[in-house]
Amino acid sequence: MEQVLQKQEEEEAFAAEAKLWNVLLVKRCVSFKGRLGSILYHRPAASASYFDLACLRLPNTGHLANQREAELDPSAAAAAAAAATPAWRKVLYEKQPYPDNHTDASFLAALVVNARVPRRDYWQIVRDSSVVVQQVSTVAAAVAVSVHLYEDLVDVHALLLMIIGVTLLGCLLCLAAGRQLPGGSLRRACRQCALLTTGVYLMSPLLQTLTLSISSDTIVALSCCLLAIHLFFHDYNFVHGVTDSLTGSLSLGAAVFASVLIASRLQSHLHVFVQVLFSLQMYLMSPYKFKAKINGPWDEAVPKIDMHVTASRSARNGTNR
Amino acid sequence: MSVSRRVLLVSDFFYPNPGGVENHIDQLAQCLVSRGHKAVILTHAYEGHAGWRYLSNDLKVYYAPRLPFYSQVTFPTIFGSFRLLRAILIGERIDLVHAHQSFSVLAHESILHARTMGYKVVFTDHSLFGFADGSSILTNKLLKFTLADVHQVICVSHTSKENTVLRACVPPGRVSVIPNAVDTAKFWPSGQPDPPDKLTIVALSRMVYRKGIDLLNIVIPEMLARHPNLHFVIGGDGAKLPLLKATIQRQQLAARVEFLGAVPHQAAREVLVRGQIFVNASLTEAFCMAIVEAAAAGLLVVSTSVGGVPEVLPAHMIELAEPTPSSIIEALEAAIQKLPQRDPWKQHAEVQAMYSWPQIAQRTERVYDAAAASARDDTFVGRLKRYHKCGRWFGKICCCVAAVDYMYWCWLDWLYPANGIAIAPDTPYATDNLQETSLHHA
Repeated sequence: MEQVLQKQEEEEAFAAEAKLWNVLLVKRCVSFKGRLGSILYHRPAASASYFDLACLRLPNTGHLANQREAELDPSAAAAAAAAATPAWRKVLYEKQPYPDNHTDASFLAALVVNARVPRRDYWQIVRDSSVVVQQVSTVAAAVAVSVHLYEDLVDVHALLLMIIGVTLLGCLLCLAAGRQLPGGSLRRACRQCALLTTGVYLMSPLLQTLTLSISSDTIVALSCCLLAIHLFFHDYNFVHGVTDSLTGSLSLGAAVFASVLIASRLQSHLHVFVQVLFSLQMYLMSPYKFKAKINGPWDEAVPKIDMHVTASRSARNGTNR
Repeated sequence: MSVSRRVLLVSDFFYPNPGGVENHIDQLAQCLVSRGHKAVILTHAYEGHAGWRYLSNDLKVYYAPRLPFYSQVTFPTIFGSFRLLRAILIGERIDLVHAHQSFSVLAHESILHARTMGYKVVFTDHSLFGFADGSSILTNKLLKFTLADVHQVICVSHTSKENTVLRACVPPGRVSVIPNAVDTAKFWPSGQPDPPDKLTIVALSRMVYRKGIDLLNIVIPEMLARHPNLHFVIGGDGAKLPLLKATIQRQQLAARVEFLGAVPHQAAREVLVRGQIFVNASLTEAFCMAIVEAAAAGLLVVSTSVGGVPEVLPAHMIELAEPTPSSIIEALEAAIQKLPQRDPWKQHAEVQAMYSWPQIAQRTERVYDAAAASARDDTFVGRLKRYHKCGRWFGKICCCVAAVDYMYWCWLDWLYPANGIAIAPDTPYATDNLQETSLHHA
């Protein structure tokens, strides 16, 4: 009889736990499949714990006996069982007639899966990803111009004129759209522009002979690597044209280094000048239209600071003074 | 009274390091000893603490020569601590290993080795973890590996149990919930009646982001503006303290806010009883000892409702708030309204009945019994089967680690045979005396 009861108890425990898992499954299977799946994967191992569960029962587990009676005489004993065992509460300050490893049906009821996942529109994603496409295109354009210069397929003076033209056009567009010049004021913009151009022009003979002792294959391979690094580390996130992330400057450094390497293979120092200038223009001044700020559940939670408290306080301070 | 056991408590965190886990291990060990068990503690060497030493009641602590590399956690070497652990397990004739805290590398390594040697293992998790960032993912994987093979797990709150079950994929039936306790004898209410014209709110925690100091930074000036007779006493040190001090300075409230800096645990009661309300703004908390200590000292508690906090105190002792300044302010207002009904000594007695170490030790003992009575397949193959279930790839890695550990054990057994390890003598001491003290405390 004792053994039968023991057996029955184990079966009850098994049924209870199976029910729990079913509830869990039905409730939140869809997007939580992986993790729950792996818990369920443990089911065979779990069977060992039913014995442990039986061991852990407190001496006053009268409710189990009541339950058994209830199966025999459901009408009378149901009320008795309810009276004997109060419903389990999720509190620590009360002694409850349940074992310490009791797992209630409300277990994991507060679990929230994918609460803040934004629903993304396909075309929105396509538009947002254009930021990557744009950068790849920028690199492709810079390299294509270099190749044209190297093969003498484009007149170097025409290219110089084009750079000047595009820069002026860009400044005008910036003025029209954003009501400000790149660099802040006209004077500052001119000064920066002059410094940069003169610097590059003066350096170009040096740059031209920089890699004379290195073979062209090495230069090409190295440039490709550097451009790949540029694309990989490029700060696709930034919004305001200023990057404070280390990878952003690393990316820019790699691109400039690659263009200098390519420039060092060119015929004359005017070629070198134009090549470096064009690359700088492409990498530094290309428009940032499609920058997307991506937020999501992966961000660290921030305590909510409601502004009306601080606002009302500073308002009161103002009246006090 | 169950069978007398010989338990090794393992964690990276122990005295002289201050903290909740350290206190828990110490108190648990003392209570186990007073209940007639043998308890030995293993931690890593601290500055000025190496080798082994005896604490009060002849509690033996081993300070293992392991190098801590990040916030008192030893450098993970997987097999490095095995030789020493084996010597301790054999020398102290241990029959059950109880590891603490999921940050503790020493605890994880000890679980692996103790299981290799066939010991029964229990693990206690003291904190909550997320699932999103890199360090959580790594720790959760590690936890999955080590918990795959332990016999019983203990969590300090129901929320902590849910968290651990999800993180480590252990069947919930194997996880028991046993809260922390508070040595209520050390936190008794102030004898003096409340001063009629002065109201003091106490905040006592480490001044770090996790403790919600940014919330207090807004709540404190606002509350001071609303109540002219209100004062704050703020204890604790940390990265956010300068922010709080700057705010108080800027708003010219320095006369009504007292900063105490770091407060040692034994002085906490003196700080608590200076106030009538205790405020805790933590952003995450598995159990929160601080609010229980404050409640024991007779203070009304206002706390953010995070993690296991709502489970800890009954509604008449605590006002719960959302982790926003306006909600905390509301809760503080409600607490001020409730102050006249406060009966510190009644509350002290209630808390004493809720959380006492002897009870906690008794419940822990029951978990030890369950672990010892476990009838599962503990052969090497049985263990490998469990490890294999940890994941498609990860499971295989786990199996490899377990197998190498097994071979290392065989090699250790051959090189340093068990009969060559000196058996440590037990120090007999007056159990009656101890029981008397614990009764006195209770």
